Amino acid sequence: MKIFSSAPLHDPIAPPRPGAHKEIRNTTCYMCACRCGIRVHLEDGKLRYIDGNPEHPLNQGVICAKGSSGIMKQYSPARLTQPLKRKAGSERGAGQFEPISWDEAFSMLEQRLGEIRATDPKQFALYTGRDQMQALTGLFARQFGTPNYAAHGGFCSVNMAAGMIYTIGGSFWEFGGPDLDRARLFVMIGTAEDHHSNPLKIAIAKFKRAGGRFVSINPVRTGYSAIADEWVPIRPGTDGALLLAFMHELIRTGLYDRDFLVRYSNAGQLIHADEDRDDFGLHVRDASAPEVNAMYPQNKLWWDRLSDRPVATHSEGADPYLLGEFTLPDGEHEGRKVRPAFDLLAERVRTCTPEWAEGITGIAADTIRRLAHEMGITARDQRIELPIAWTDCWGKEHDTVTGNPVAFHAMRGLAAHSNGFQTIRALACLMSLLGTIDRPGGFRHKAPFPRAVPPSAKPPSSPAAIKPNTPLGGLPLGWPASPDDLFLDEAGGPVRLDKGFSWEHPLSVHGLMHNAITNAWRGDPYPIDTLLIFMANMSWNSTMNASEVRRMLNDRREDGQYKIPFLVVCDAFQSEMTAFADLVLPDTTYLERHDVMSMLDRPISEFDGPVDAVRVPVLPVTGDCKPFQEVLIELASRLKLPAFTKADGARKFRDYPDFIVNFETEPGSGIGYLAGWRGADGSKFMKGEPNPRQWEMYAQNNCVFHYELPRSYQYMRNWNRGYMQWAQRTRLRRFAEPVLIQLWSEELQSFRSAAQGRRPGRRPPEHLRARIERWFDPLPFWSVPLEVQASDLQKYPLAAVTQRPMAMYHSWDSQNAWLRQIHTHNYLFVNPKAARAAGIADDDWIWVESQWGKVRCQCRFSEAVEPAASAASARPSNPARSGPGTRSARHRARGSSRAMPTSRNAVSCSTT
Amino acid sequence: MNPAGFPTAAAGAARPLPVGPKDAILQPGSAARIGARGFDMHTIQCRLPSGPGQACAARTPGRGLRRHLTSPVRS
Repeated sequence: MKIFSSAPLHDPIAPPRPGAHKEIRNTTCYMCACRCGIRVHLEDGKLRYIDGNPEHPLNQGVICAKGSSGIMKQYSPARLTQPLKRKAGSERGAGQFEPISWDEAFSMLEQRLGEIRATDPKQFALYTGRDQMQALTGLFARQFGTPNYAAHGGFCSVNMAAGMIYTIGGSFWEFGGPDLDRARLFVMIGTAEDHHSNPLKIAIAKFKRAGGRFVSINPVRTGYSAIADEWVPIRPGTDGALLLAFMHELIRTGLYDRDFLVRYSNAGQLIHADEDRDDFGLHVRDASAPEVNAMYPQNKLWWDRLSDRPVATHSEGADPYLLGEFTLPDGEHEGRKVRPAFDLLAERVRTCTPEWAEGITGIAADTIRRLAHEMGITARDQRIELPIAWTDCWGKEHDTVTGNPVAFHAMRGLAAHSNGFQTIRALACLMSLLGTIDRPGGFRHKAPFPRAVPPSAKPPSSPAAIKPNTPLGGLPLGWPASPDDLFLDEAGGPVRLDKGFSWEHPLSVHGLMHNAITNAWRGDPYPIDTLLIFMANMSWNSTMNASEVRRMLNDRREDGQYKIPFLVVCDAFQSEMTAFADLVLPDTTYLERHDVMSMLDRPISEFDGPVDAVRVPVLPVTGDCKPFQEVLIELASRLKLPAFTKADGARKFRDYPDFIVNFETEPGSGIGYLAGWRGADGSKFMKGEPNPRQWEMYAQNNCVFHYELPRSYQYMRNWNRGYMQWAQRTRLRRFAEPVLIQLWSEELQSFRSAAQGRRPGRRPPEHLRARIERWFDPLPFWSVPLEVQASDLQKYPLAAVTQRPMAMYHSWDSQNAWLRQIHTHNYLFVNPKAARAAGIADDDWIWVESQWGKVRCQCRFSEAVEPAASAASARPSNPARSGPGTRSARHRARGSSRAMPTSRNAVSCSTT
Repeated sequence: MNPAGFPTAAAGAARPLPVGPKDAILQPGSAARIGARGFDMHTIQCRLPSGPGQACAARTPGRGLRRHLTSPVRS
């Protein structure tokens, strides 16, 4: 390999050699999270170039800079090519290794993990980056018996996922998105430059050509915002205030969709309003009516305007009040005060005026008022009626599907602040007020969503779930509905290493990967023996404090043993993380392996139905690499984990492809990792016995399976009886009860009630009660971000925003010469007004200081930065957070690209 | 109000932290506890102290040919 040559590693403009054997192979991209279809062009078996697959539903032939640069990853000189063991006597971080065979590596792991599993399975922790195989990594952890498993979501998208799923049963991106085919107004708020790359670019282009209006609300006008019809600059971390003000205006002017809210949300449902009673804040239930489903009780009440008395919700002919306070006339709750959920929301936003929001967001009150009216009027006056008959969950037949064509897209700009969870709740409530949920031109779900609110999967609730040589008694990750679902020990303390689902982090639905190393090093709540990390840079994924994490990894106990005794890293490339490993397992690239984008995990579904996809090897494995999936199958087989072992003790699956074809969620269920071409002859889908030719059939069909739902099942899926029954039959859903939008969240109230002593059973420890009571508000609210609260704003008046540039967004690592050379300088972009006020000229080298450290960078004037106060950097990491401990741009790029930086926000927000 | 639009403490005075965030910051497992720098994922409060004469005495970045256009960057 020409590592030290001045000749290019790969010359894309070299003339093709006549007579060379040319071949095109289809697979699925992995250069970001979109998972577009790609065609890999080979010449004499060597990779020549990559382009988009025109036959693929997701990208329709479009390819981005990242996708076409996959070749750089394949031929990176940093590739790991054989298993490595840290040399005896060398320090972690010194990078001194000796090559070993896979057999030796597996033997080491089998012996060590076997002993852990036979004694205390939680001594083994498995944390992964954004691996796109969490259905397998999660299954491995559960079968092993350890609760200490998570991927990177706990510091990435958790607020976006949790805030919306706890409200509408779905969220953005892989879970749902804007229907730009029919929208008239598109509001993008807090979305980074290249999120959901090619599919969103295609959709926005089509939307604009059709005359739609695109409003971008963002501190920086780059990426998608650059082509918006209107850019509304906003101060970072203040989006929640803006959303509350929008709701204030919609309710004040009556521009909310009352009919939608009445039937499809809990707006009309009565809430106990006697503050001195223990059931304050809970839904009023009719004990004499059937509950129907204990997890999702259906016996709730409206106050009917026609009969002026409480009636069962969705009673034929009834029309509930949405505003007012009422006194229950008789029965078990006689004399009790009750209020509709909508009334409580209206009261919450009553003081959230545009003028109030102007002082927080920097957006003029008139602009806020104008945008709110535009949303409301577009939703009301440009209403769509599609001639699609459907039946709702209460048996009412509808001749048409209605759409209010206002669509939103949001991501971490909202979610990844310390107030992100409630900001996302506010967004979901705003979208609901406009009547846009799973309707044409609004937000639409993608299978397997919608889920229940909250989803029925729960973590274990006691340490009894952890037993030697036994799978974990529950899922490592889940969706608590109340304190009863927390994973606590007898004393109310955490059971997970990262303290997920404890009173410190009750709704940490994606786990808390960033806590793992620190907690293991502290022995808080307990020390562990072995940490296996895959495709993740824990120096960055842990606390954004690389120097401290390196110190922790090298710290020793009194007996000389490392505090985290055994560290295993699986990755495709050398990195500052692998240097600290005791055992390095070389992974393949995405072009060298089988992979699935599974309906059991996060598939690539379209609005009109489920879509899953595969990767197939298009190049031979480099050196002695092995796909991590194969490592897990081999280890699970050697450790005889039940799901991977036959009754006679023999291994069940030959390898990963064999596992994918033959694994069923339970014997005979017909549900496996792939939904397409099931059944012995491949004639079934969603459900069916294993098909030995399933891989082949995917490969023949552009590596993708797409089932288009009947039109009557494509909309209103939260409340669509036909869809619900189909989804239950195909196991996308466990129950068929309607998924009502929760403007008022009883789940959050149950935690608050526990903190207030209103609720029997589990109570937070004294030192956490005020925190739980404050943040578990059943209605969305805005709070000053913690970073701002903890800063001296006289000293640090500007907000520095970091985001990854388009060509690097979600690109996992920095092993890519082409992409890095698109952005050769890491400028700090500053609005000229703010720069001149500091006496800084364009192109000056300057210091950026914060309470966390300082970094030197080059200033570049830009009118595309929020003018009043913000400075924004296109660096792939946060400059002022980097400090002297960080080593290089490469270091920063890798860390942030693996999982996007940090998240104190996710820490604090997952507790709110 | 300060330039960022938030209510400010008197210049130079320590900012009192409200119960919730203070609690969140200081409790075990919180950002400070795990050694994190900062609290919000993509945003920090900062200043640009480089006034006239304060600019870094640093090298000017090269604006010449990108010599490694097609070769991997090593650092």
